Amino acid sequence: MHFSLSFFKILILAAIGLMAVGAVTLIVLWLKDLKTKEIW
Amino acid sequence: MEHHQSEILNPATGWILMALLSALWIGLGIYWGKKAKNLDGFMLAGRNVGLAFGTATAMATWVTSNTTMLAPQFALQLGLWGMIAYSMAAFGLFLFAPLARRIKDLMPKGYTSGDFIRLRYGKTAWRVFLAISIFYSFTWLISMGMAGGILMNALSGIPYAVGMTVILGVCITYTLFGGLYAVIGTDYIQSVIIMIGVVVVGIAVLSHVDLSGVYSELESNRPMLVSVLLPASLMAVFNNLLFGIGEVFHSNVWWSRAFAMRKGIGSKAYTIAGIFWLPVPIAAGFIALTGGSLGVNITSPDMVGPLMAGNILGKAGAVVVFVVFFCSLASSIDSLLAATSDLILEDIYKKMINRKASEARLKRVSTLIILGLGLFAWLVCLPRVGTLATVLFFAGPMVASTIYPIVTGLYWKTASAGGAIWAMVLGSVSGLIAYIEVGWYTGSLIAATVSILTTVLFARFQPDNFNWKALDESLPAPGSVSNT
Amino acid sequence: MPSIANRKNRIRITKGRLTGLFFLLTWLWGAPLSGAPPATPRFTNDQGLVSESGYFKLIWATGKEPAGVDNAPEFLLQQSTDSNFGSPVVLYQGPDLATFISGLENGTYYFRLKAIDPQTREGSAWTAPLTVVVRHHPLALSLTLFGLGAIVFLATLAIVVSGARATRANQEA
Repeated sequence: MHFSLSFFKILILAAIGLMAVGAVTLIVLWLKDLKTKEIW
Repeated sequence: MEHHQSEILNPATGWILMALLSALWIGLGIYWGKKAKNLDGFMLAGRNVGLAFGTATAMATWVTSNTTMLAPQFALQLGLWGMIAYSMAAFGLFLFAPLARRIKDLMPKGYTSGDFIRLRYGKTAWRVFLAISIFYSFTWLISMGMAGGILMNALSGIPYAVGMTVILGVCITYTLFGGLYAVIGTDYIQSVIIMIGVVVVGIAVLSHVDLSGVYSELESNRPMLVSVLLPASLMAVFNNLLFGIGEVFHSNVWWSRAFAMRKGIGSKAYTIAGIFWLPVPIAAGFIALTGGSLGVNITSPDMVGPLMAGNILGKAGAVVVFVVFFCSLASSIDSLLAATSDLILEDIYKKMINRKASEARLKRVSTLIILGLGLFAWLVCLPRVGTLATVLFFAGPMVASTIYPIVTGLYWKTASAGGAIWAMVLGSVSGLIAYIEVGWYTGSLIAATVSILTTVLFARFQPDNFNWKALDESLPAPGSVSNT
Repeated sequence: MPSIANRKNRIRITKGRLTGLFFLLTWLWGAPLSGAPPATPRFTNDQGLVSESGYFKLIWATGKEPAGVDNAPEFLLQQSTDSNFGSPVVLYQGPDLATFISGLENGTYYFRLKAIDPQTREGSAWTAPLTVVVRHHPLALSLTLFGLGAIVFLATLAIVVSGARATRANQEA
């Protein structure tokens, strides 16, 4: 029994996509903290 | 390993990149270090870290050379399940989120995970715990120092000893100057670079290879890699998950961050970090599976990630890979140096050697401990023995055995010292036996199983009745400490 | 890139035709027939390798170099599921001294190796076949451990979630 090709593709594309969202989120969170002066 | 193909970047580029990154981290470390005016500042960044830096530091520290190097190795050895198994380590962060809140509530003035075990279970359990935790920290630190040397050598031909010395030296320098402020500040920039870097490499690889082709090559030449029932992988899935939980739950690297984050931040920060860490092993790991369809010979599985990225993407790709690796190494080495020196300072020096040390003296001793740790790691890394996985994975069963003493100790009044000690001892021993007899992919699983049974049985049949207030050392000591 | 495992190019070779093939090859490359062929390389793996995970690393070394040959040799590595190399697969051709193999199904695999002089294209004799047996862990054992892991994980999850809920309820009360 093998993982299907579409599972293989979705797994990889979803992973890369989620990481891109993560990078954006980190920057947004920083901008928010910067605004309220709550970085440290 | 000695069977390597030639490097991907020319040495001059490697030296320039290494110099630039080193200067950047040291400069930022000194800059942020100015905020550290007292010991709480140096050890715990003033206990007021916000959500952005809190999330990023948890993320970056969990993305180590082991994520970026070992995830491709997992994919190559254990296939699709291998990548998924590696991803499962994100549960360490997810499950630590509620713990971080609980820790901050119970011990607002705590310093280390050792503090918790000592106050919760007494001295014997504390000694066993310190032995496990310090062994783990050393193996982690050493595996990363070695990874640094091996990587820079493989990527750009910089000699192993030089690369290893530079990465350790840079991290020691900025941790010395800036303490946890420098560690967390640099972690933020490093995690942004790592995430963007992996995404860029991932997209570039996808534009060069056809996933359908990769899949069909795997199916015909390495069929077990796409099999749902690859036995070794099936065992690795929960083994890796439990290893990850054990690493995060016990290690002072994570506890110090729980103490450092502002009240109300810890739980959120660890959850978000877990969500965005989850895809890293897959996004970084799948590249290893393209080797067959591209006709690249792989000589050492622990180098498959950088090798494939360099092969597919050429010079530009190799530069990105170099920077990502340097960041992922630095973000973990600095955290380990800081948190392990805190553990040694607080648990060994302050609690065992010199109880009345002044703050100035503690600061001086802390500097010496960081230097000593760094020097020790450097000496062990120098001869370059052992492969990455085996060195670190030996600690797996030991850390997995600490999961339940920690969790039940935080939530159950009934969790007892006897349960904690036996859980750690029996768990470690049985896990190591499984590791040797069956395979490395079973050690943590067996250790965790024995540990949970031991802890729960003791709590059930020889329950303690712990007074939570005894955990807060800033309160006047209760008349009698209830742990026996 | 020198290191190409050309799996599509399956070459059928029988032992009897081997020498003829060498002559043919050298003739095709237009190289002089002078100079000794490279020495037969050897696997440095132990015979009787058994893999329970479907992955292993093959490593080899050059044979003793004949005098006057200073070219780094190339190697040709073949895999077959039959000890006579009936329909061999070319796993690797190039200068590396190792290759990492993974994802194999249960079975017995045979590997053999020869050195090729990169200038003259002269090849050494084949090594004796190296046998590797792939015998995956029993599925029952792995599924049991998978199940055990799932139970321990769920129990851990339950302890954390119920603990967090109880303490929060306490604080609010």
